[in-house]
Amino acid sequence: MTTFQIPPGYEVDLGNLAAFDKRVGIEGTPVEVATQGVEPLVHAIFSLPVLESDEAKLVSLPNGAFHLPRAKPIPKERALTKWEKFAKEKGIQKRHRDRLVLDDATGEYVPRYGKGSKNALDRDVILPHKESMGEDYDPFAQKRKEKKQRIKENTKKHNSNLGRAAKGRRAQINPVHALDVGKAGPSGKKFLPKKGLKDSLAIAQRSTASAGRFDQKVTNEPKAKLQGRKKKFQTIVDKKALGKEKERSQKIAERILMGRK
Amino acid sequence: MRPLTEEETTQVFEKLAKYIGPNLKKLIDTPDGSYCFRLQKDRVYYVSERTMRLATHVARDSLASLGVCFGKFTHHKNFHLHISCLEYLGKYATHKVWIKPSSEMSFLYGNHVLKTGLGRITENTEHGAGVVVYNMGDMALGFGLTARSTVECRKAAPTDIVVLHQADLGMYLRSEDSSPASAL
Repeated sequence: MTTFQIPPGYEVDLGNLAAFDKRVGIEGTPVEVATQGVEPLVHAIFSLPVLESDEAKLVSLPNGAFHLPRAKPIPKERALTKWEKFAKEKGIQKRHRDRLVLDDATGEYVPRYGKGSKNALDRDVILPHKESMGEDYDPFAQKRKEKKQRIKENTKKHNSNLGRAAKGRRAQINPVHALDVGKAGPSGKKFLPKKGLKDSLAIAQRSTASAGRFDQKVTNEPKAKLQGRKKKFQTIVDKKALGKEKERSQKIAERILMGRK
Repeated sequence: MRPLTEEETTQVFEKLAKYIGPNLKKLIDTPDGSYCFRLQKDRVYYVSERTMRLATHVARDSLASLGVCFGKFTHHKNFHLHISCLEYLGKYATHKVWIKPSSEMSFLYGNHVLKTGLGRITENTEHGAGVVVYNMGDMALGFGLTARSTVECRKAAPTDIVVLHQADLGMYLRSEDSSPASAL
């Protein structure tokens, strides 16, 4: 087979299985032009070295030359967790530990964690009781409690790490959607995050035709803050009419005195 | 320093009206010159117009006080009257209470006025009214709120509280730190 040469004006990008017709002054119908353009591409594919395979002829495509622009921005790298940051600073290397540890009591190898490990709750048949702790002290319950505490702390740290990592990548939550987000509190009931709720309420209050000015409020509903309006104070010394200020004060005084009657 | 907004003025006047009632107008319409209220650092000052104009020449940070401090706005925008306005309250008070010499010191230490200490009380004072407390020599000692109306006072037991203490002259010594003069 004679080596096929790509005719001038054509570019073949094997990685993207594309052929570009860059000739100037192309003549002919699009169908004819396209048919002509397919030929270099097919030749190029068949000129690739064939890989061994039982099922079919396989070729390995090289990397494409044409790079499509990214649709989305490059994702930021995952933020380091608190420990990773610290370890990096101090130069602590990761040490891989064995899964099985020697248990002195039995002389056998037990897993470091999980079922059958030394920390497992079902391991202890007898636990020492301290007289100083009193009658109600239950060492088994104490162990269970401590384990729960550890788990709680760890999940909290894990979540804060995740939060820190997601801070850069997360788009700003639309405050109105904050109503859907609920975290289960200690009693198991779901709470609405306070900050989002305030913002959502403010938005809901002014989302009426009259911007919330004439709406009936529910009992204990906080007054809508007039957002975006700067406080305008009277001038300290009204040179033109100090009488004006007096008038204003008098009006207010009258109103109050009338109200008291 | 700035003038009070309408809301703030309403709050201040309402508080004052509790003690001086219709005489509130006399505070605004003084015969011997125009006085006005000004706000500086959450404190309300009653100051003559001339003094106020002079005070505009002082930088805001450097201005400690002007005129008479009537009271201050708390963090949550409630208004509290201060002892320093006693002079005016005493002059224009509508309801007055005179206490016996025996319980004068007790009141000046910040205690409430009991029935035993009550000397005189103006007629038709209702429950919860603002009153100015005087000693038998007609000297204003402080102010407070009535715990009982005049009628109830007569029936009250000796140890019942008659006037709830709010401010007294002793505060000049006790609360030196928080007094307006120490805003320096």
